[in-house]
Amino acid sequence: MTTDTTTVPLKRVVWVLGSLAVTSAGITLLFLGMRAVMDIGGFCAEGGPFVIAHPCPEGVPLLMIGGIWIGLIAAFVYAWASIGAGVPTFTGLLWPALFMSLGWNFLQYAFDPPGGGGVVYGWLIPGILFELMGGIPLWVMIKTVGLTPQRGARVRSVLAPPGTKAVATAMRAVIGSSTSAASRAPKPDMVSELERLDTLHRSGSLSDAEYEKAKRRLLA
Amino acid sequence: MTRDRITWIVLQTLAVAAGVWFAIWLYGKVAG
Repeated sequence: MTTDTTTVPLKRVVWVLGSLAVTSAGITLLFLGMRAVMDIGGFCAEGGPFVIAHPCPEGVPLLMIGGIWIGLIAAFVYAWASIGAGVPTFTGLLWPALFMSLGWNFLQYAFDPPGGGGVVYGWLIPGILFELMGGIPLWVMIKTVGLTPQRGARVRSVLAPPGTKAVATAMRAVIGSSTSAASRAPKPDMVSELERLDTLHRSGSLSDAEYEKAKRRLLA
Repeated sequence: MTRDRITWIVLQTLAVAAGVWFAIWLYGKVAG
């Protein structure tokens, strides 16, 4: 089924966009809160019977904890809403966004710590680890399903049996050559041909223009 | 890439931008 903005109910559109916005806000709050804590040495504490050497920046613990939990719940809602609706989804980007942005904080503060001085290895190592934890899945994702996979289209083309591509190539050859033998051959069952074209089109093997051209030729 | 796909990606990119903007605003309000 080809999904577009007109076939997705408005309520679902609001869920997709709203939950994505809240997820982004959660990651951003965590990113900003982490920087505020790193500015005062990388840790802080509140309350308790002892004198606190590193009191937390005002409001930051609440924003960070709130950002984590609200962002996590919103991320699950977003995955459900976007994948369920069959629209292009950023779900796979959320993990790299989280780890690579926090990794950036570690790397930046490792090379340029607030108190000055040399490289802080205690922050450099987690920085590298975080970048790898975010970067490797991102690289694998780009190589396989792409940045914004879409249920039913992009993903299916990846999982499609190898024969599908051969059929699509043959179809292109038929479309490209008006005097080909295929065009002079007796026409197979038109309905099954149309269905096959539709499948190829939805799987992404045929572009919109190729699909329209092939369909016109078939119906002519 | 179909027009619908582009529309969805643009809309979702704007949603991300709105979320980031709101978080920066909220952070400035509470902890700034």
